[in-house]
Amino acid sequence: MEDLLKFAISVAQDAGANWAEARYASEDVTSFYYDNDVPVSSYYSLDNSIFIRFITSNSVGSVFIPEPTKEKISSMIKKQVMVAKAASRINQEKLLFSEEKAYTKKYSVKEKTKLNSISDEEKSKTILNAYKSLSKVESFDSSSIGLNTKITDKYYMNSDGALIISKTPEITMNYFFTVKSNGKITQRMNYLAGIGGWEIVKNWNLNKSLVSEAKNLTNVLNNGVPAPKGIMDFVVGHEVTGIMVHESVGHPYEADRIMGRESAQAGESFVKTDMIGRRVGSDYVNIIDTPLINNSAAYYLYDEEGVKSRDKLLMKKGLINEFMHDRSSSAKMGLTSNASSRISDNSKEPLIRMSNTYFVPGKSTEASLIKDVKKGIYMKNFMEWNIDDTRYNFKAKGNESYLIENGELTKPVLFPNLEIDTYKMWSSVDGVGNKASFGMVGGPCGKGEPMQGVPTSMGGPSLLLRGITL
Amino acid sequence: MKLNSAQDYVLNQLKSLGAKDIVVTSHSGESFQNKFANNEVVANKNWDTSNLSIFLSVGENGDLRTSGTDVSYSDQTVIDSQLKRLIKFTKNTPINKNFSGLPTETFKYREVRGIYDPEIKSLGKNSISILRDAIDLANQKGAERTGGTLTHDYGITRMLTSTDIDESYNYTNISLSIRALTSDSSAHKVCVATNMKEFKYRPKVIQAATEAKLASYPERIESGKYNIIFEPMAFANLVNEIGRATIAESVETGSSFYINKLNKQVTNEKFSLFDVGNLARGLGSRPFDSEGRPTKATELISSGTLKTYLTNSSSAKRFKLQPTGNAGILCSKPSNLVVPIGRKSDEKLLAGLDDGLVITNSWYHRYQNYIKGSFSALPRDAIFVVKGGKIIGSAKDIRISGDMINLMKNVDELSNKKERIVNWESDIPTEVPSIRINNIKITSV
Repeated sequence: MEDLLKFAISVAQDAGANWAEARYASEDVTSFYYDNDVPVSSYYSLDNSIFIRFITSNSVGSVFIPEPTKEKISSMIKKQVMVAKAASRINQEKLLFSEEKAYTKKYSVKEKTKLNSISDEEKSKTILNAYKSLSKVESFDSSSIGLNTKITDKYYMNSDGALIISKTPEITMNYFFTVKSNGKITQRMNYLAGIGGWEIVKNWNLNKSLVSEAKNLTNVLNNGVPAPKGIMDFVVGHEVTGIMVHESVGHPYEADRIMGRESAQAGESFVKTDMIGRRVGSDYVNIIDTPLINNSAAYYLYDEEGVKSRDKLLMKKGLINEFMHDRSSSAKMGLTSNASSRISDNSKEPLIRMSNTYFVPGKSTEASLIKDVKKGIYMKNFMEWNIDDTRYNFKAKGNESYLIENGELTKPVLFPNLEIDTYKMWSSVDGVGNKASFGMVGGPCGKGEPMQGVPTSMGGPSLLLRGITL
Repeated sequence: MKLNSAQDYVLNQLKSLGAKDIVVTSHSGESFQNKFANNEVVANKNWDTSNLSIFLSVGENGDLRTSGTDVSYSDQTVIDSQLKRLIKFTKNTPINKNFSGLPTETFKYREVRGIYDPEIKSLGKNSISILRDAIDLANQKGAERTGGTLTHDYGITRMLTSTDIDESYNYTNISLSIRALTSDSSAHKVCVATNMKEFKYRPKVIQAATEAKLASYPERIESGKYNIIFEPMAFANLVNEIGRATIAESVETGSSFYINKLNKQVTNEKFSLFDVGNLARGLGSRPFDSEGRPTKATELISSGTLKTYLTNSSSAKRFKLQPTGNAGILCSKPSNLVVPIGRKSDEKLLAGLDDGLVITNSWYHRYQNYIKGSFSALPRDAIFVVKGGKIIGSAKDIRISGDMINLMKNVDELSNKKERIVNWESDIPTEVPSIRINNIKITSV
């Protein structure tokens, strides 16, 4: 395989590329989707493909080839180098690319129970058992549950001399269910993801967690009171912390957005390159993005440009501290990459992406945060959410939520809105839960043209937000 | 093996291995994209889009197990081992009670007009000239920066089935997506076509730049109820949501706001909606669906009344409806969503808006409850404030919320000019005019 990658890189260089990288991937995929207990989709595939990206005088080109042969690699690269050279005549700005150490490394992600030892029947049974548990809840109406596995064997090589060989087993699961009670309906959608062995699925405790979620939502339907109006305090659980972190810190700190590369679709950012050190939140706010969490949704040791992974402290005590970079954006700021370059599958160009993004825990118990609220809302999780394309105007609508009165949770509340701008949101943080309240959830994150959905995770502890307008 | 030979071989092998319903689809083609940002070309991409996919069932009627796969096709030994694994894999899946077999009727197919243009196939690096012209034109007309993509594709799709179908079609398409930006505003337009003759991107570029400039100095507005004109890009996003809600499988899984709504009023009577699988020059057009049924025009909403769901053969049987020729590999899917135009010109539509907004684009449409259709979405790019039928300024930082049924019952008027839209948010090809909808909740942070 290394010979094929060397061949591809040499073809690109001979055709006039200054720099080139190639990756060969074998992606072994299984996918099962059930509507209630009906297997509406059972799918597997084994795809072998090569992706080559190169820089010509002042432009970037790439080709993707399934079933690659030397003839095809050669003809497609030569043709595309000509396109890239033609494109470089439009470009005025000098194309920069950071100098990085060229690593040679081979690694396999550890699996206690190997993913490829799990039978297709076991995977189907996992979904069916989750459905069976859920369907015993009296208010249950319907469910859709999907389970996907992917084992990627990848060879990455670039013209700097890097060679990274990796084996990555990946599991994702998504579920969607409806409960009906007291003449009302509510729904729950969730996404779970991890990189590692089948033990990840075991640790999800699906049967128990789905039943608990369905029962809690039924309680909201049966006993929920309309959300109050006015200015009050919020305590949010780790799922809500997670979506706040992902949408309002993770995305706007992607340097390619900040520099306008994704302006047309994924959008730009309220953050500008000269805002490092600018206050965006209270002193309580510390936020990290890192791929270096075992079994997480986005675990990797080297990114898709061969750069060694590390933690990124995006916000430090309420100040903007660091952006996520690839080799292009970092060079523009006179920095080196912090290994944020990822792909959704082997056919796609690498882009700056989040990995696992979380709010750093504090010292308060969740109970003490609630006790500190005279009148307010506890929002445990959410269903509807969105944010504008500069990541300023955020909304999450509570699903399982409760009233807080005189420091205690009193009754469920029907679907309160947290609709707020990013500055106000992070400035309102006045208390941070400890590790006991900490949790991470998965999230399929979309970006790029064509769209690349990559598994990420997001989370943190419970937070106390002051003075929210409801 | 060559792709077509491999396809024939796979069908025969699967038959001999005891598979019952078999669909083997080959695709051969290429896709190209030039991505630009800040007036510079930031990526030039080329994909070989060739693949060979299989859907099959094993078992007897009423007791069928189904699965799908993409297979490597270059080596016969590899194909053999993959097919054996596929049969084993399928036999190990539970019975798919929803699947009632491929259609067994004999079909006649008609060529879909205008979905292939050899000029697009041979475009090559000439795409760069189009891009240069688009960027320069936008800047001349007032944009400070531009971003977007120029994409073109060609390919041939061939379907072989165990029901003796062997049909194929060629296709091409080209699209320019351009967002024009100033220091405090933007506007986004798309131009999509299946042939170069209809790829008239320059008016769209001018429109993007002009609207971006006009939307400068946006201001916050009060939260409240507004009458709103949705331009085609923004309206296409809503129509995509409506189209997805008409999918039979969406209805079954609780992800539609049209459950138990057949033959009931679901929108204002001024609104109708068709799915047209064989639309001439349509970007989602093809002569047959994924189970070999000929595509056709289906009236989904007739003057406000929901007439049918989009179905494949199996879901049609479950719902006791006629199949609409919308089979996808996994479930039914819309092809081209077409909204019949209204009577008023765009100018009169605006003149009839005493006090309200014009929304040119939106994104992030998310549901709190799919069955109720309760949602919110964010307008983006140019948002114009209108008083007395005239644009008097622009707005920012707003959110629309409501439920899809009530929203569409408040349709007031549609314009008499339609556009074809395919975009990031509207991945289902859509042909829509502008629309005026009253009494929409707007919140502002």
